[in-house]
Amino acid sequence: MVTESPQKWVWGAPTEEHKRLAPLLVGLEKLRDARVTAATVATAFHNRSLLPLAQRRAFMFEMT
Amino acid sequence: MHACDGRENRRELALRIFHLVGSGRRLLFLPFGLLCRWCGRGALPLQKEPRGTWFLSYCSCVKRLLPLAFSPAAIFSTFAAQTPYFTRSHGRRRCVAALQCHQVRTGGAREGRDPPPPQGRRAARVDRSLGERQGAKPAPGLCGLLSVVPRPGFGTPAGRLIRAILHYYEVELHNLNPNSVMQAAVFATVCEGFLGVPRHWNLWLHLFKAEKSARYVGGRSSPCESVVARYSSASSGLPSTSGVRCPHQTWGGRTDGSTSRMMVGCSRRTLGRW
Repeated sequence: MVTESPQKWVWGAPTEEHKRLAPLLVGLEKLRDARVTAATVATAFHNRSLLPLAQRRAFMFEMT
Repeated sequence: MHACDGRENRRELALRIFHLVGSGRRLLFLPFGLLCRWCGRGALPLQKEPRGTWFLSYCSCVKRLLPLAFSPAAIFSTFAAQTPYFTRSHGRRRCVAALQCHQVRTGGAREGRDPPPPQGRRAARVDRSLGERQGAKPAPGLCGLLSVVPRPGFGTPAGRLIRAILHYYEVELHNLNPNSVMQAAVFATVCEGFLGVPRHWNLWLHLFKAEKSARYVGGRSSPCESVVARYSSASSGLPSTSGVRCPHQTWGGRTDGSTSRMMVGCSRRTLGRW
């Protein structure tokens, strides 16, 4: 049972990392514009029989 | 040399094999490869698959070739009984985690306060009791997995993202509701499969937060508090850098803020936009 929420449960990356996150956020915008939703992503990894949270030796983009 | 009758003899034989396999001696790889080829499993899987996988494939080969010598159940029980020995000798917790299918060691929250987890035969006994008794309290340092957790993409051995989440938020796996696990799985897939980058921890921190929730799950009140990760979005639906969380536009949750259980294949209207 979690009775208290620690202070670091608030979200937000460190300020110095915001510039590095910018290209990733642009990529997310493109995905959003392409109507990619959480459901489509979940369907994708289920169709490919992937376990995203399991340990793997290769990244997904290295799997062909 | 090895008598094949009797449970103890089989266990001793399996234990010796595990000891030799775990030591990683190169000379043993050749007979393993020949064994795998003999069974029709193709090339030597040592270079392609995780250690736990080729270990299990080796066990399946042995099962085919020597059905009367020892059974896989005996192998597994021997391995479970000798887990601390295997871990201490070779320092490969990864291999241990691959075979402990329904036990996950969690860190952070109780570290330093609870007694050390049971080891040896006692751990194996706890392991079996987790599956047999419903509502059993797991031993300190171990947690039981709900049957719904593996569905959203969780698997053992656990990856770095879910371990980082558990460590950072100081929670254990059973504190995460299935929706949170699903969101973590989706995030990992988006990073690796769509954006083409490794899982980015700062991006996770930027997009998600954890909060304590005991709201309605599946139409009934949740019996315990859970941690839910929510998408932090501004009114435009984009990730916000201002630090303001918009409760009406969540990613993967209902728009009314309730923590519903996510189902694969739900309509886009239910899941919301990201």
